[in-house]
Amino acid sequence: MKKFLALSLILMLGLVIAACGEREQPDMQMMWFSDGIEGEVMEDMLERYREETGVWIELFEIGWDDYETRLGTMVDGDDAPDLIRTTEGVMNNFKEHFVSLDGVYDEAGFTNIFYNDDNEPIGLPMDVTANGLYVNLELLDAHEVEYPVHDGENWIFNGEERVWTWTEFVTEMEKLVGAEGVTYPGTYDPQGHRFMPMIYQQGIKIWDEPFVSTNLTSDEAVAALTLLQDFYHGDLVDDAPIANWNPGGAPSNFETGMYGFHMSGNWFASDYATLDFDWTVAPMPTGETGVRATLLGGKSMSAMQGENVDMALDFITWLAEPANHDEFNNGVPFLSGRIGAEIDFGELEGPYQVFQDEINATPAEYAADWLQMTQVVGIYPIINDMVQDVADPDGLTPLEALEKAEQAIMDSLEDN
Amino acid sequence: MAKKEQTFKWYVLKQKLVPYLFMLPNLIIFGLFIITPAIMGIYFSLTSFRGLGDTPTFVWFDNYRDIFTDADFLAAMWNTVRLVAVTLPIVFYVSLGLAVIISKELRARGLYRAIYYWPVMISFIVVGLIWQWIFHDTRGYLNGLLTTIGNWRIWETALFELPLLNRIDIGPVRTLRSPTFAWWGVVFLFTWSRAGYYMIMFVAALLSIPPALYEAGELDGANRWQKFIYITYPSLKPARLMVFILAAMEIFKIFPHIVQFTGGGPFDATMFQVQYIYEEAFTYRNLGSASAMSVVMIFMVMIFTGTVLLLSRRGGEE
Repeated sequence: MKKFLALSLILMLGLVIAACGEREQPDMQMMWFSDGIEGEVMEDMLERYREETGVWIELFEIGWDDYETRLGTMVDGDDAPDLIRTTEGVMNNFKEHFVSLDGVYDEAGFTNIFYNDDNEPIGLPMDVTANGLYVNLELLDAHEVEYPVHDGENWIFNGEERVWTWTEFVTEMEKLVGAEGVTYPGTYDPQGHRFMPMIYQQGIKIWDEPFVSTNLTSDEAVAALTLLQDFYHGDLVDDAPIANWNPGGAPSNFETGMYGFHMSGNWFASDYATLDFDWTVAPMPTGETGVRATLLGGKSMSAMQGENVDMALDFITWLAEPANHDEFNNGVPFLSGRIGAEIDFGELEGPYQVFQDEINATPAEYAADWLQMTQVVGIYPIINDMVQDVADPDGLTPLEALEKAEQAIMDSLEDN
Repeated sequence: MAKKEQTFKWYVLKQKLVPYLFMLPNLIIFGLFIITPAIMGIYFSLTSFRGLGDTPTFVWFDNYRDIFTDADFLAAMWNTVRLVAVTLPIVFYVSLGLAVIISKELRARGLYRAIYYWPVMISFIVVGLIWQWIFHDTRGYLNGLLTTIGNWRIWETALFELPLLNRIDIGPVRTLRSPTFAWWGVVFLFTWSRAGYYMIMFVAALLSIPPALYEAGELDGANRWQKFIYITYPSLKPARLMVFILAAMEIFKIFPHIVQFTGGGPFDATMFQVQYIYEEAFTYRNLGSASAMSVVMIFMVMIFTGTVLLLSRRGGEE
């Protein structure tokens, strides 16, 4: 018994000493979220950066659902990360906590740069994102669903040089309702962000006058939201992801191979590369005006206020170098925020060409319009509520939901 | 003599001081982690605090005025009251029933106790996850089973040619996508995960009832039901009160189960007060408003608990 006690005591003492021992600390911390394999690619780059400069940057991942909450807690606790992967929404909500990147990199070489209120860049654009439409080719072909195909020069649909309209899209996808091997014709990410291109596709901007008045209650916007409501109420789209607010539900649905389409964005392409059925990205339909539009976005690298600002800016300068920047986007692969970057998409070349085509086809004024929209504090919860309100069978009419969203935007502008 | 007096005074002082010294560590923890945040919460509820290093600005009672005109908050509050009203009696009587059954001399009584108590040991998140796997509309085990049975159609074979069964079309049902199913699913999930906990409290109380009372009852010719009504049930009064209040408070605060099970959906059908407050604070970043909602909730729970205690005292000794 005595021996046992003595051994236990030694073991406990050893554990206490080990616990008190100094652990080697990283020089900086980087906060990150991943949709696919981009975290692993960045880890490899950080390893190389350490070998080259001796600076150890530790990457820690937080799930997207908790990302802003955790960042808020860290900022409040004066424990903000030195570097962080950001979206427009994150940069907007925390903009006073980011370090200005004015002069840190050549802005002329990048696109989709987010600025603070003093018109200084606060993020190095890393990858560009675009909304897009994934389609399950096996299911569509099996049920003779027509979709636009690219002949090398143009999109061809119904023998004409054009993409499809939403009306034609609905007609085609309805062939899947109740068909064998089909759970639902489609699945839609529940985020309001995925719906917003539909407004632009009606041929209007969201802002009537930036930060003063919107076109959200116009006939075109109502038509766009009515279309989405009909998808949910008409069983064209599985309402489970939005009903139970499960953003992961839509990609999980598509991965079963029993859904004809998934309205989402390019960030899922690398994940879908391993699916065991044929899929591709089809151009999103247009409104009756024939206007094509996607929602441009992107992820950036930002530095936060703190003790290691100089080291963090050094890293961003290093990351902005073409070879390093391209290493990241080639590693995933992603559409690059660096103008003129050549990315090898490998087997994902086809789908990414479609995403790039969507971006090229989007009028520049719509891209600028959306960038201004992302500067409204709390815009994402506002538009999420809007789509949830119309998807709800006992919810609001499209006009009511749009009026509510418009009011919330105006309130946010007034409060902030 | 003086020494004796000093010793006596010291003894009295010790008698008064020592209990407080024992209580001190807990009081410090309680003060730091319960009382201080509660006071801070009341303070924030009077401000427009948004977090993120924001400086709180006094708006006094504006937050309280706004939340009572917020239809979504009122809906979440009403939903919570309904949940308490429905779930509380169910949990109460299920746990009491289980306790009565497993207090009997049964074979493998310990095994039954373990089985009924087992869900209590599972974390709330995992409870939500388990039942989500079972009830998920498209990937759930329940609908998978119904689909299999539907495809199987054994009654269409020559062996089971039953006209009534042939008319039954068995297949997937709307589960978590149905507001009614999801809401009752929450009632079931809470009962399943917590009844075992309250059962143990009832079992402890049941075992402390003197057997002499039952022997006296038997001598008076009481049957099983009469013994339960006139001896067991009144003897359980302190335990009943405790279970009633603890379970009510737990249902008022229901949150982690729901986040995993339904996410508050479908379309807010299972959106209860705590989740609403959480989203107001951390999704919409209105910490001032969320604090006001929390204060309202505390008052609701206090009024409920106070009323229960008052009614139980009025009833006197049964």
